[in-house]
Amino acid sequence: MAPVTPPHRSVRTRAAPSALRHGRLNTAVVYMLLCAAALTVLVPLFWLVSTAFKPFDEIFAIPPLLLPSSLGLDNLTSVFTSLPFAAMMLNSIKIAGLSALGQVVSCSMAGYAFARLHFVGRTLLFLVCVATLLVPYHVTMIPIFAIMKSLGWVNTHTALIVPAWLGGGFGIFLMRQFFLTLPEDLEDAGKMDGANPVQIFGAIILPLAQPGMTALAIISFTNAWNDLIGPLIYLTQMEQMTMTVGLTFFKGMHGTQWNLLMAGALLSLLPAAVLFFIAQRHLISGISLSSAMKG
Amino acid sequence: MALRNTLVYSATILPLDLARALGLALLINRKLRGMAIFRTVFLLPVICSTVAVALLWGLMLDPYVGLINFVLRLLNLPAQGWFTDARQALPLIILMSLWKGVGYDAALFLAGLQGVSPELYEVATIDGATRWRQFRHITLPLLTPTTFFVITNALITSIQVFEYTWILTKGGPQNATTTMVFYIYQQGFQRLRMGHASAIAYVLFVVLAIIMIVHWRLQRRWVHYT
Repeated sequence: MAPVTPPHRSVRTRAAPSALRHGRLNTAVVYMLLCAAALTVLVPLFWLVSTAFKPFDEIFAIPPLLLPSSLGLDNLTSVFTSLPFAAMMLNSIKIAGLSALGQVVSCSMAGYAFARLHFVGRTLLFLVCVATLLVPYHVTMIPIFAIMKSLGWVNTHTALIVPAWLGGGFGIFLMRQFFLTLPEDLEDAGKMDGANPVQIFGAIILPLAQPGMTALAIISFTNAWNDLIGPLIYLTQMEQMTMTVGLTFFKGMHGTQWNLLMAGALLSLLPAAVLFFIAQRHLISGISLSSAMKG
Repeated sequence: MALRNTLVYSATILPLDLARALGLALLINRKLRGMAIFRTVFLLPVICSTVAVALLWGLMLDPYVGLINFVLRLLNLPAQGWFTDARQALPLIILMSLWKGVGYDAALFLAGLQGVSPELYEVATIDGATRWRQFRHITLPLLTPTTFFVITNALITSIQVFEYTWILTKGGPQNATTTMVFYIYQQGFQRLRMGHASAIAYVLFVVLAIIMIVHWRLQRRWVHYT
């Protein structure tokens, strides 16, 4: 017995640390790459934050000041006093949130129909849907405005929210591509158990589709959040405007107020960033849910 | 000129964006500590409004008082003209849209990667497949529907690029950054030649349609659906 154990142990001790070291090395490389990529993002954003806190005369100082000489909140407060920025913030959250919800609800249903249900004219309808992507927004702007006007929705947020609940070529395409990657076996099992398409969609597909839906929610939220031309053509009152429009007011006739602009940009970035931080956790719970379903 | 600029822009940005987005997605798909923070960081430029991004880079790349030229001078390198240089303006706009857009495409790839069943990798590992072979024969084929979507979307948005040139260069210097949509805007809304603008819009539509038909036809050769 005795002569057998030492080599056995030595093999084990030799193998374990090398595997461990290999794993650690891999992790270190991944972290290094991540940090390098993150730096390219963070350095310009750092400049945004730093400019947001500088008094006007320090912005173009030579040599450039990495940090403002004093950490004042003057810019942030004057962002709120020179414009109804708090109201704009709420408007942005309301419009972008409801638009994202509408896109997820409508596009996931339409995308599922295009991916899995069989009906006459499916391919043609889908092609029409995708072809709408080719038409630049600026072309359809005027007819849509005319429709909104006859509905009496001009000057309301409804004009910006309702279109999002009517689907859209982009979201439908995204969800269809996502549904096509899901295995069909689960749905077949549902069919065998006598579930109708609505039940299959609700009970089987929706839980699996969480990563795709999160991605779509993120994208639609961002688009609505950053939409410049939509609020500009539909809204007229200052109190109704979104933050993105508010930002452009700082780039006014008397030269750009860089510090206020950057402070406003920072404020417009923060709520969205918090939301993303939460949303991407949902993305992770989406995976664990789908693997649990498969197992 | 506008058509050439637009095509150069699209043709350059597409492969760069795909490679970077996929690489980034593979990195952030790992389950490591602090990944939530990294994912959020890469999405930050995506949530920034295009207006703010363009202005921020314009501020940093200012030839006289910008941060980047200051750093170049510190390192004893020649200061550059950036957006005032006809040779540098278009590449800079490409880099800027890459900076802003890559997190978005990485998020799409990430969603695609997470749709891949982990069992497939387990089976492959048991069969003794190397990491590279797993990537080549499992990840890439299963990711082709996502890739197809990302390419389609990138093509469409890149051909309609407008904001950066409108805010930063107004199409200059020497028309080096005049894109199709900017040209439409210039002709239609600044010179009020609506007919001319509509004609360019048609050309834009036809160019896009041709590219899309070719792209759609080629799909059968390389996109796998399960």
